Amino acid sequence: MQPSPEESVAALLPLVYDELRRMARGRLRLERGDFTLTTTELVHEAWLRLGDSQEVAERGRAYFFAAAAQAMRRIVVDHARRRRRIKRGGGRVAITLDDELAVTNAGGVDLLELEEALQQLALVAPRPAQVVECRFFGGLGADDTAQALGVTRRTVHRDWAFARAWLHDYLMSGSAEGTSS
Amino acid sequence: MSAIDWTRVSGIFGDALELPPDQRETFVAGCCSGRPHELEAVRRLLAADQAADPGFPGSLDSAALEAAALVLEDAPKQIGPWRLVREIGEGGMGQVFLAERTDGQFDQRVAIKLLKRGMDSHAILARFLRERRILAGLDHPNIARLMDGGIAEDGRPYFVMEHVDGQTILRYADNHRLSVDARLNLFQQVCLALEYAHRNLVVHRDLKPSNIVVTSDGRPKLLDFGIAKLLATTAGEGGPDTLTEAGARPMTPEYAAPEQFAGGPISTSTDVYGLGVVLHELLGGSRPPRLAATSRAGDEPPSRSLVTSAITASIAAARSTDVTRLRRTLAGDLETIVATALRPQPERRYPSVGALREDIRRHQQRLPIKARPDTVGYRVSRFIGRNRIAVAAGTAMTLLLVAFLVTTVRQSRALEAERDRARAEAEAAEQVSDFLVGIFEVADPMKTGTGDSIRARELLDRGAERMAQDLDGQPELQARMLTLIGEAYHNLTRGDLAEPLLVRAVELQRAGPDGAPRPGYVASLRQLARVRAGQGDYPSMRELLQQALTAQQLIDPSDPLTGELLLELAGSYHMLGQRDSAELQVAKVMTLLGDGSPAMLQGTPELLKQLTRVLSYSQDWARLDRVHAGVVRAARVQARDGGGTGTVAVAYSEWAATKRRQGELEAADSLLLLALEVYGARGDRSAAEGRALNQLAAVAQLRGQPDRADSLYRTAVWMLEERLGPDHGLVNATLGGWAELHRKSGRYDEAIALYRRMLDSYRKQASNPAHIPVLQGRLAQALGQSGRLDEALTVFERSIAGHEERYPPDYILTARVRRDYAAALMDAGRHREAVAPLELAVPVLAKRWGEQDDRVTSARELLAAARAR
Repeated sequence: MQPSPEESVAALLPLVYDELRRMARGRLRLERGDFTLTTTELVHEAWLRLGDSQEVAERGRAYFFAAAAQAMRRIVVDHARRRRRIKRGGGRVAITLDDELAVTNAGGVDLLELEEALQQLALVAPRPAQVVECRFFGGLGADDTAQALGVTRRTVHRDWAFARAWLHDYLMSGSAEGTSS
Repeated sequence: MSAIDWTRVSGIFGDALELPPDQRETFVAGCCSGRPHELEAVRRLLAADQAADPGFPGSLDSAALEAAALVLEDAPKQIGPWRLVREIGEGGMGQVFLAERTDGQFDQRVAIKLLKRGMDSHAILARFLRERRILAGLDHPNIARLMDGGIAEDGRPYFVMEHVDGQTILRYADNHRLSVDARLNLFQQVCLALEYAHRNLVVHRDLKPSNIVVTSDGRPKLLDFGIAKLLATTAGEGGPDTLTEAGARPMTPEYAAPEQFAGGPISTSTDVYGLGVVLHELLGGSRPPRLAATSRAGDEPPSRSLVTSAITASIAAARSTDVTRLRRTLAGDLETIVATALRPQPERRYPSVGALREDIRRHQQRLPIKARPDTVGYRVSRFIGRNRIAVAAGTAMTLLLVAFLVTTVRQSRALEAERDRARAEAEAAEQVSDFLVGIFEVADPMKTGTGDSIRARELLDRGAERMAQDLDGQPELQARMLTLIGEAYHNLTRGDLAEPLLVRAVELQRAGPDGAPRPGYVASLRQLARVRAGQGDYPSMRELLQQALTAQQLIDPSDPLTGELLLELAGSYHMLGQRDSAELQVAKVMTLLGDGSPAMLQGTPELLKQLTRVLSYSQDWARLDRVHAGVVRAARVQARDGGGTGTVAVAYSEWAATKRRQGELEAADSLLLLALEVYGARGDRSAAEGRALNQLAAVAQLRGQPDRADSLYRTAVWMLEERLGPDHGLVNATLGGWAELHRKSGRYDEAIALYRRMLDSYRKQASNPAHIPVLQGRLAQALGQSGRLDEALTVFERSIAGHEERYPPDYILTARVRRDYAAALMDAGRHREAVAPLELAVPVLAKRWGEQDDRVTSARELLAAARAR
């Protein structure tokens, strides 16, 4: 019997999670120059390392990337939570926007607020929320996202536009009223 | 309040976005008539879409990494009654911590192995509970005890073991410079511990040097006993037969026996094999060549690898002897003992660890050993039994192999003689060449991490010799083989040996039966052009490439090869100072590729790589960065699709080279670290890795990190020597950088020794004599700086004579040597004699560097001072 996509992703998650943590640590041990690593590169590096392992081969590339995005989300959100606990009120992990915008928008988005909004979005529209997970946390491009979720590229674009507007509205209005009533 | 159908809302919103803004409101109102909540929702979304920053919500960047790394700091602090002190190791299975008891009952330190997430926790624990009595019962002074185990709070299984403070057996033996005899004594203690365990029906399964630790009082201790079995995924359930279960998955490939790869039964013989690998490394300083993945059980044992392995001076020194004596000691009994332990078929190895130890003892007592080397007859019969070979072959094998090749060709020729002869030849070539290509690639140091340059040379020499005679009348096959051997020689930096073969290959293929060039013609021309470039003969390089291009136009102008040839041609124009012609070639290639960066991706990594090289001459940095990024991406795609990760590493180091030329040293540094990480993950230590280390050393030096550079050079030299032999051009190039570092750091004696070594090496080879005068100049400078002026002056004079003989009178390097010579003369108080060389040098320096250059000014001052006396 073919396992469901959810099962496949769940099965890969521990593997990818460990590998990403290990890589992150290895990377930080190197003295870093001005060369910074993006999430996209991190996830693809993980693919290069694990792509030929049996577990991944059995379940396929697409699910690997979905699992990687989920793993990144967990790692980063866990960390932000922990940090907020430690320094009360300090839940802001710097998130830069696209490179060009990084300079003009130094404030960034509060990661935990975004996470909360994303969870709310998942309740009303699960697939667009997954698109955000893949693209935002996994750094996946439109094609990889489409494969990971088993939808067309066009759907990815439409879902992304929808999720973006929804999240923006949610975050700006400060609560769930209006959009989620 | 009616519920909102979000699927509908998102559909309407998506459709609306595709309309021009002024039509959206009408469209939305039409779709949502009678559904006010949905209308409101779509409107809000459209407004939000307008209001949102185009970059929202952006993406995670390196902040994600920091976060990920910080999560790691939260490793457990406590497991059971043990407090974790610090992490002492990490491996494929998980992490190892040093821990101590918290309840203060007694002072005890242990090692705790915490398995990584995702392993089959319950099965492992169940197996542990079943076997703990046996494992805990292993009570031997040379075995680290397994004390406890369980499941940590976060669900991961862990094992508690006796903590052994010491060094791994290899490091211990090297640090103490133990002789071969002392090493054998140490090894026998390891054997005794294993014999004890085998008597208790426990097989180790994962013997490797890092599992054998020697304490400060010289006692070896075996770690991780039985752990591999506990982790085995398919271990049998419940049976007491501890020795014969199949499928031990957790293993270390470099040390694993063939039956472990093949999923065959695991027995005490598996440990005999593991011991063989350890002994090989303990005695000879390197691991035996691994049997290739396709040919495990049933292949030839590397019967002589102990003696033929690359034994370097440092390996010999660590055994308190020299290379010649070490080889002599290892030849005969010891190589037979090691080879017997390493036989691929378990039943042909020593029947027990005791038998292995017994033979070692007999050898030490000068009694005849029991093991017999494989006979030639046996090996021949094995050879005939197979039709392919995947391991680097020894001498006897080479002859057999060539014989095989020739026979195959002749047989097919006889069979097909009456029919289409040309086709017969083509088929034979196809049949044989895959087989041979593999062999010669093994000999090519750039293509394999296990290449052993001494054996490689032997193989190539014989191959070249026989190929010429035996394949007469088979022009295509012969040319193909000649080109392959030529390329391998080229990669061994022996252009002198490559050249005649390639010239012959070109001739053979210039005109086929129909008058048109044969298929391999272009490739042979190109390889010959590379060899000529290596010899500094750029006019010939250019001419050959032009011929190749002309032929390629006839064959298939759209092949990426055309682009590669154009770029190589551009390179030769650059070397000849004909920038305009070079630019023209680049422009042609850019047209072929389409000059936009996405289209770049359609080029092959090789083509893009060359493009970077040519663009770097023109210092078009922005374009270069784009192309480099493309190369890395293309290489990654290739790697993902099943190619090796080696090209990714090469792509990084090429990028680093560009960054270095550009003066962006930190970026170069980071890129090289990325490359090295890729190599590290591959696990094999290839010459390419040594080259990247050398690059990094040079960058560190430029960044003002002399200590780091020093240790990097040391590692690079060691690694390259290991792979390529002491006289390879790359080894010498690395030594050159290192020597320069020594000289600049004031370590003149070290610098002088290295320059002398390089000079000896170049003289010995009679290849690359161009380097000799330059090196003499450097040596002389170091001699002068160390105060040995007389010697320095003599060497300077030789260097200048060499320069004059080789280069035009206004050559910049000649001028520099003259200047340094004059400075040394003045140091020696011989001012008058310094005038003439300076008068020759100054105009050349001024022309090259410009009048304003500080170096020119100081040379003029030197001249003035010389004249003043």
